Amino acid sequence: MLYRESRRTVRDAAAARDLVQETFIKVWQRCASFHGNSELLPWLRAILRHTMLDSFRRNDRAVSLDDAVLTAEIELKIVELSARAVPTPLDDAQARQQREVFQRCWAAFERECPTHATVIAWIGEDGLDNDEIAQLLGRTPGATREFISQCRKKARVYLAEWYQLAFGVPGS
Amino acid sequence: MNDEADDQAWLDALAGRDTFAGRATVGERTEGARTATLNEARALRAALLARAPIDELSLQREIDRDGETRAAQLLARARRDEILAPALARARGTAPRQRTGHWGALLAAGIAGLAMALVWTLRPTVEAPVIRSTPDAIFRMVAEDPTALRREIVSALRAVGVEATIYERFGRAGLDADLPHPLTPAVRAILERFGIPLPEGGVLRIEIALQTGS
Repeated sequence: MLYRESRRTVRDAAAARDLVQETFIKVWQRCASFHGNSELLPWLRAILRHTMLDSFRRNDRAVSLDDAVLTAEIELKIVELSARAVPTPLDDAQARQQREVFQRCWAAFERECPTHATVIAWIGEDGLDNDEIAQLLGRTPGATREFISQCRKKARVYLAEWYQLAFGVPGS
Repeated sequence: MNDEADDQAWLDALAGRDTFAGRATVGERTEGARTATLNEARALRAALLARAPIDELSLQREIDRDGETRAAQLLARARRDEILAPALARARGTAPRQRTGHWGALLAAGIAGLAMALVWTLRPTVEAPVIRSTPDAIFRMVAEDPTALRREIVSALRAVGVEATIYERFGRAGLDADLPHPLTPAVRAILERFGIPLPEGGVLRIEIALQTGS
């Protein structure tokens, strides 16, 4: 279960194995603190997620979004695009193209900002809320709100090409 | 809407809490959100959920292969350290035991062949459609849109505070959830609504397959 969860996030077998191994070491070290107040599985999963975040922090490349002009331009464009978006049925080729572009953009996002990408994936796929993410990140709810806002901004930059396709502006 | 409220609306929509059962609790927050924010979050959520899931079959093969490699390494090390040496020497020096081994293998192969022939002969000519069953504590369902049904169940559970983990296996949409103990009336009502029997052990495991033509 932990290996599957790990693979789902890092997508690299060797790295996923290392994370699980590190998780079990932490489980061994912390097992005395597990009093059975919570379920075992969520407890293990939380340790794995902490381990992932620690690993990301160690490897995080300090990618800054200091280029405020570029970021503002992208944000403006995405707000404009999504405001006028009209869901249109896609044919297979368009849908495939969108998926491919998303995979490519997302891979770059995960590579450059693994913590931000993972937090977004946890929200989107597992429905985590602000408090749960705050607990995982070890931050206050206020600081977490700020961090999530940063995640959103970074996602807009890395997924800009996909946003354009998703909102029906192919090739623009 | 200020930036903080806008980000909150984005987070809620990204987490899928704006469209399903959670509407009643977060409606006020998201109601005033700009369409752009919701569109942006919903599109991102849809793309994340549509990401190619890990191929469970190849993942299982990978886990098996890892196990075999590890076993081979351990055996090689045991031989190197001569831990296995006495056993191997004994095996080499006992020719009659080896012959017995051959006959045993032949007998086992014969029984296996007979069993396969019986299974083949006695198999039903028309496979009865199975709608729901509960082998291995996994509750299986079929639906025209398995992902949509799973999303509906996950959202309903989340609305009553039960978090579910989703996964894909052999083309089936799966979900695991740890149910509260004792089971609350709200969770019980959801299970009843979807026709799901009460799981034993407090762990709900469901796999939804695509409904094929009748």
